[in-house]
Amino acid sequence: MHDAVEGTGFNDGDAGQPARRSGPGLRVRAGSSTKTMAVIAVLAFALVIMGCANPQEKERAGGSGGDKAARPAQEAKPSRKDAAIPPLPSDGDYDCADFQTRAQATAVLNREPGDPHYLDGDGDGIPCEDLPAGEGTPADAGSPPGPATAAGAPSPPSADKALSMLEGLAVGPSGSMAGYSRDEFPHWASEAERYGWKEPDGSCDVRDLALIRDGEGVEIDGECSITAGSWLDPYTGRTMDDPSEVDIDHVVPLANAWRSGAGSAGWSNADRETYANDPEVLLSADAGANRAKGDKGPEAWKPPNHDYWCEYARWWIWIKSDWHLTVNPAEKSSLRKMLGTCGEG
Amino acid sequence: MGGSETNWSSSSAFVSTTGGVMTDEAGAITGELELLTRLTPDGSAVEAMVRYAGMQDLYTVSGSPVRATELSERSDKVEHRAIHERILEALTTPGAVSGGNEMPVDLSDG
Repeated sequence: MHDAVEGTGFNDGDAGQPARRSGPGLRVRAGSSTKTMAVIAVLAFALVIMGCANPQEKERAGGSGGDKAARPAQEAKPSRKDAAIPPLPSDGDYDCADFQTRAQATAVLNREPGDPHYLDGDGDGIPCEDLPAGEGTPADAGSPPGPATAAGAPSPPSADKALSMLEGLAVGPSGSMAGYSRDEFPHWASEAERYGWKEPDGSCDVRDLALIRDGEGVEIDGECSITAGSWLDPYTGRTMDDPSEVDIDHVVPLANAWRSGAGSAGWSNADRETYANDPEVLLSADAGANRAKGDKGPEAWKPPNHDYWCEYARWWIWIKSDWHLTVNPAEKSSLRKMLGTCGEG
Repeated sequence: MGGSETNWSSSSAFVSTTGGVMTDEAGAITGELELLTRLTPDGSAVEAMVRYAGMQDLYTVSGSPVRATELSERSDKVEHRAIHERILEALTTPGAVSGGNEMPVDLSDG
């Protein structure tokens, strides 16, 4: 089971910690030679902060590939949780990625209750629900679990936020598969912490950690073989007790990523490796559903479990946005349709 | 799309169905693909692989190899070609819709 087939996972039990990308620098791709110096600087910085990177860093972190849009070559973000409210970005618009904690975002929301920055997309008064709480915010202040979401799944942006992110995605025809090979995306890395995973045991690789994160009651032996646990597959709503029935899906499949930007010259091998091991990209899913999904986008495959459409679309958009991948017109239309199910309860 | 004629006896370029072709290694794959088939060493069946057009990685079409017994007692090149065409037809015929999605096609049901 591979690529096309792999799925994403849920973040296990780590309420305050949505999926995160590894150190910002890791996803930076040098879009042009002029960025080289900045990239080097970011990489160096990433080494310093690695291990304490915050989830939100991923959002801004990569100059991501594909898109030729003028993205500043990645401002790496320090991750001090108690940092003061970050300065307003140069585009004049805060994004949840600009904060280290929900407490910071709350402070901005309190200052600007009209929420011009769309920090509280679902209007429940809690901004940036993917961020760790931080000082002054109860740890359980996050949103209630959505339907059919496995226990530890990372939390994608709200529906409103996702819609706004979708509008920001570059639209174009899918690119060709020229040059594609699974080998272009080394995954199941053993040095998982480098990609932002929490390793309970040095013997675990990324696949193991996705299973641990996404399952409930997961137990491992000394070699990080899974010996017990159960996994709720959001695609079908089915619960699995046998890890061999679980695939780790790349929510935006590697081949789809390739066609929508990751195959471009702007992506380095290191970028693709980071993508393939990114906690935000990976989800534990029913192997059969994952195989049927394969390399397809939402224009050709949607989760059979309609209750998951909302979250799936939010998640898909989240990845495409963070990694600066493009969408094709049919894909965009399907994503809109799926977002339309948000709030149906 | 010239298939590698070294090992593969027949190749055809095609565009997948919406649901794609189910493969053992990568699940469903879609888009511009290439089908490659060859007789098994004992001549009793035909192996079917697909790849993204022009690319190297080969994926086994689920359900491959297809047994050739029904065709005749001995498989020769003509028969192989006929089986190749049948496989191509199977892989370009849209699959059933299930759970709202057009399913990938494979060779397991004949």
